Amino acid sequence: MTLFDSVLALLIAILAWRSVTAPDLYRGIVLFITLGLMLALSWARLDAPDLALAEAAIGAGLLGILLLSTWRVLQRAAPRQGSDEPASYAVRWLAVVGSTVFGGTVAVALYGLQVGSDRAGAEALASLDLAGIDQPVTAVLLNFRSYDTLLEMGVLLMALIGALLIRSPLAYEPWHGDTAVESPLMSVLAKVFTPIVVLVGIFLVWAGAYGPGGAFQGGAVLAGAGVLLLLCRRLYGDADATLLLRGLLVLGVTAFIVIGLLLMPWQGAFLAYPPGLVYVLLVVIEFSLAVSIALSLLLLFTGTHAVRAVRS
Amino acid sequence: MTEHLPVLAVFLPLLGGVLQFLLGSRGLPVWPLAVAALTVGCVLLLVGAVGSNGSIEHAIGGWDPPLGIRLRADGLAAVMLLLTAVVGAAVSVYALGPHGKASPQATHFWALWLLLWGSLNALFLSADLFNIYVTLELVTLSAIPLVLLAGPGKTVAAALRYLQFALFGSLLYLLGVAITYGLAGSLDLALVGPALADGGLAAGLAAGCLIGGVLVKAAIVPCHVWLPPAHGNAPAAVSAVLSALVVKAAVYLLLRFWTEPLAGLSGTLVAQLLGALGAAAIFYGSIQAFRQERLKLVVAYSTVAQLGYMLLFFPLAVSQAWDGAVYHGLAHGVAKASLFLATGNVIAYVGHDRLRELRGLDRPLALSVFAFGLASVSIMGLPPSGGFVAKWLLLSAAVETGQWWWAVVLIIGGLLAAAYIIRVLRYAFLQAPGPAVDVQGPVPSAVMAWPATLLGLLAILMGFTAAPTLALLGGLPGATS
Repeated sequence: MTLFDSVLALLIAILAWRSVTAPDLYRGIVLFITLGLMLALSWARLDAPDLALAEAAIGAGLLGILLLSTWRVLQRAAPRQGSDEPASYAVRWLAVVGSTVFGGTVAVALYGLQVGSDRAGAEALASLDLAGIDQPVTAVLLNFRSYDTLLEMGVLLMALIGALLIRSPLAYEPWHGDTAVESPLMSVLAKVFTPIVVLVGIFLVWAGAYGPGGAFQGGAVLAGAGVLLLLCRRLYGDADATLLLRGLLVLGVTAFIVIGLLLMPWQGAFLAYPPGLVYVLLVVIEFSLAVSIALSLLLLFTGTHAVRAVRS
Repeated sequence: MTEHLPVLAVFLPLLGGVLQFLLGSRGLPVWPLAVAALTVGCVLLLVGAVGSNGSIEHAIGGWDPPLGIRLRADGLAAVMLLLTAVVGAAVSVYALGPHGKASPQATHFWALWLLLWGSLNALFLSADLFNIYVTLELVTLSAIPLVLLAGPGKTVAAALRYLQFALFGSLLYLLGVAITYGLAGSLDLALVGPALADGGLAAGLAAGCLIGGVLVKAAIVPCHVWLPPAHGNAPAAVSAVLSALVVKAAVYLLLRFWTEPLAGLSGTLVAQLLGALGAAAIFYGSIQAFRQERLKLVVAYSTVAQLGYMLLFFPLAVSQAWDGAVYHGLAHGVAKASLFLATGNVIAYVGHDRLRELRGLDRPLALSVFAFGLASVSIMGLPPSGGFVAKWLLLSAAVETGQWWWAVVLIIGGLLAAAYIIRVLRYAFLQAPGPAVDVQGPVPSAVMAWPATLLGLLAILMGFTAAPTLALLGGLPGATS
């Protein structure tokens, strides 16, 4: 496997180099998506399946779609690609030398680190019985350091508001002015693949309790199903959000905060769960997070305030 | 009850912001104002409790560090929370004018502003390196969309540049956190100190990344280039919050790290270097402020300069310097918010902020120009304002430690500030006694004029409230006296 790992490492370096130096934006994006897949593979080789799943679903999958759809909007809004003046040679060389020296220093410093001084990690593994969930990663994300996860949901909501503020004037409407024909493949894709993708997504959320998976990975896959439906024109982006849709968008963070606050006087600490209820509460929180994550990622893709089903 | 207050200080505004997003324009303006009032009340209770009982801690989820995350309200956190509450209350009232129910972006403004308030409180209360990273992201990602509210297309370039710098700073900081975790096996501020103090390459690199990342976010020269366009073009209420609180939060982190996790590492060379960056910021920011043609950019460059004073703590590093640097942060926050709100009123009335075309503002905008003048007294560091007390403390620290060159920086900085402020006042008052501007907007209503004025008055009053505030702050951490 050493050979495989070396090839993988080399490939990652080359892909990273190429995606930065690619002559046009489109090629750069495609190379970046490939880079994401290789990174996911490298996480899998490093025995971090949770990270591998997250990287594949979000880093390579959803980020790739977002970049490509942005590229498309850019093409339409201002078809003057490549007109940006490249930086001067001096600046570019400075950047190359600076990043190489910095990267080298980081590598040397990390190489010298003592492995096994991971106090918090060891303590987390030792306290797993108390967390109410067997999977260490999920236990850290939803129990030991649930506060971080909760705040990250706030980050996602703000990022969505910010993206909508910029993008809603340029909203991408798949069929207006799009010349693609209704191909027979589309209905097959929508009918056959969507249920499978949804099932995989729900499974990933559920699997977070005992294996690799969780709300972020599962939510990203569910969002992928939504993107599939959008591209097959079973869904479309819409300007007006209903109360229900906005409710689903904030479901995760609201459920998290409200459960935490309601239990606080009883348990004596914010986000402390009573031992008997911990599993049920964590599953409820995980699924509400997944719903909000999936919907937020989908709206980031459409750049609109809402999505609606097409009535046929 | 007391130990729950830090949680409430974070989650009242955060949940309020989320529900504002859910409610849309239905809840305006009662809902956000109620949330703001509750938040202010909660922060006042918390600050009162810290003042009488000392630090308050809350282990989230009941998990103690290194496993879990602590919220901690100590003196430094308490004074920053208080500043946020004061500026936040004034901005919330002011925003009823430009971001009332009639404005199309009102929902987004109030949702983002409440989220930003909660995020700032979360940042000040956090005692965990990675959690601070998350709160920094929260603060940045709520601040950038707020900049975008200036109107379609106006601030997109400024916001994107802000985003690029902020993300670069975040990644640098995150690298520092990762290396620190590798060294210490913990992320709690109180537990990582010994591992970072060992002086190896990794520890030095971690400290460098933590400081460097925060410096970018704090817009310290030479990483200041994103600040003037973002702060100079955002809506007035947003500029006030960004300049008074958001960049201040990053400088707060520098003070926090230097006195706690990095305390064992603090080398004199790094301290002098940080001081030199501060001096560069003071000179460069002030000179640029003097050269601007737009009022709002003068105020924005003034922020670049004023943040430099807080960095003078590092080379001086005695109790008086600590008090002076923190008090400077508070005084500048109040005064700068007043300046931006007053500037917003000028723009609302005149329709532009080109300095050379501003004249005869004294009559219709009397209250706002009065506020501008009061806040300027503090920015220039004239007695009896809060800015004077802060600079006096820093000056005494420079004399006490025998580092006369920092005293020179302080004095020249004050003169430069006077120069750019008096240039503005000259245009507003004296330039032409003739008629006021040609096209007049509506005279700003009381909701828009009074918050600026009260903040300006407070900036002066802070000259007299230093003793109780510094008692709350509670002295330089780790100092023997």
